[in-house]
Amino acid sequence: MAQTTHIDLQTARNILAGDDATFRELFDRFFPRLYRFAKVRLDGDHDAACDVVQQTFCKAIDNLDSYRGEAALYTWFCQICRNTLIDYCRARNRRMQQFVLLEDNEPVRAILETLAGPAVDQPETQTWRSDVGRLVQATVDALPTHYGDVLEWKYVDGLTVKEIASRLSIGTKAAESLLTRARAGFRDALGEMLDSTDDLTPPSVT
Amino acid sequence: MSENSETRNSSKDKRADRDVLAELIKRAGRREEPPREAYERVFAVAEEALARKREQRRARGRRLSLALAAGVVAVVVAGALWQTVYMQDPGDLRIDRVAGIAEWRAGTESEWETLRAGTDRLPPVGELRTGSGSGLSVRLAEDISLRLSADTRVAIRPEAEVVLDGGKVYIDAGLNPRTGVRLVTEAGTATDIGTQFEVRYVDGDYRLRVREGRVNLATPEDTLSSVAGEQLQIDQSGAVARSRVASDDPEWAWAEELAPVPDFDGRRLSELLAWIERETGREVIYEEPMLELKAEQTILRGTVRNLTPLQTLDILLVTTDLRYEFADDGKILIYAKRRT
Repeated sequence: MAQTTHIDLQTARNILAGDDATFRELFDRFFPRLYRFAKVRLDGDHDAACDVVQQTFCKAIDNLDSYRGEAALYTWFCQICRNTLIDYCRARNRRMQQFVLLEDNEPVRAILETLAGPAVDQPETQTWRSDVGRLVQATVDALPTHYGDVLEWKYVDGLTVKEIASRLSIGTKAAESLLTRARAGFRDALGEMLDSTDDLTPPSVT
Repeated sequence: MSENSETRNSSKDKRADRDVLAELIKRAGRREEPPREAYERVFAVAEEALARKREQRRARGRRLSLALAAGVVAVVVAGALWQTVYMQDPGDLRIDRVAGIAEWRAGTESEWETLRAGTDRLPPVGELRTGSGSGLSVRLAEDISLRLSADTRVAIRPEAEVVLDGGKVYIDAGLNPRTGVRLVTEAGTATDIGTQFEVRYVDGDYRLRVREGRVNLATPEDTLSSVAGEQLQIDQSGAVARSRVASDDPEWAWAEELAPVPDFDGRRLSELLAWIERETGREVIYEEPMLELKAEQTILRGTVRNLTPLQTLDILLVTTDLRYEFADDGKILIYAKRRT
């Protein structure tokens, strides 16, 4: 059976071959996401998150020549980070935040069913923000290059398409197209995680 | 429904869907950005790690060139020229992993030298020590794995004798019975037969833990025997206390983190799982009997280094159709990738 190879394989090879610019770009993209990935699982401990992410980068770099492109490089880094977190917590007799339960279908579906219920002010509660909000942010983080950024710029910062295009030094049409692809990517990723795209409606949107 | 109605409904659905996504993202809020100083600090360390990695690859390339040019070295090609093997004394000490600060010296008259990345061989006799928060994994003759915890100092003598001056060591003498390692301390000498065990000797207090097999301990007063799952403590007064320690107890974690990782490229998944059992002390079980056969038939691709056993399992298992999780009793359960 033929196996597709992710485009990131060339990125990894370029980095090992001496391409510092590509490494800097990869670090720029991965560090904030891995930091958030680790911090939420370490109960918001900034120093511990930095330690874990530092170890993650060192381990990933040490094994970069074994990366075969079966999955995206960020996915590969995340897996190393996840394992580093487990080891870190175990060595310090520390419990890892059970955030990953939200990525199972049933609990997330339960949250969304609750959201779809009649209590209009539920989206404003701290529980919604902390649980589903984290899930949304994690999904945004997992998207390919720039997708997460354009979604945040558009829907959190309220930037226009023209302003987004200017930030990325691309044309307006290209920015519109990127935004469309980002929305589709986010929808697919979240839908896959939730196993249903019909329950995404917060109560306040009809 | 007319085509126009369908089109209008479809457009309306798309807008509604877009509104939902927009609302979700907006309400989730801005993602947190890490502080700049954290970014710079971690980048500096990562950049240094990358520089070391690139140098290792260049050094490997240079060694290969020299070997081919000289024509006197035996080169083993494993599909992608992963390793170069030199003709050397089989009794040499092999460095498997260094975590933090580890040093070596030939004898008490010599200076301590820091073990650096890329150092993989040492003479068969000498002294080793580790710094605070550090660890070291070496291979003695006959494939015996010796792992040093932090703040530990040992002397390696001929014929697989290790003298522990202070600290904690873990020994894995392998699967086959042999006359084995002698681990010498002032409190006594432990001799193993095909065993995994740990000895801690600090300020006159001695503790022996046996993970697999049996260890005989000869003290000035007595000869004691300890078996798998047992912990034996001797205090400064010579009082002996025995207790239990499970093979998958978290106390073994430090030794797991220093486990030398075999090259599994081209080897069976069942071999990886056997190694995982050995290093983690956790039994591997299968959701269905067929999966055990599948593990036997699946050939792994890829090489990893400097990862813990479970990290190695994660990285290599993702290239197969199998996954794992921990059962309630701590065993490792292997299941097929698509579960309902």
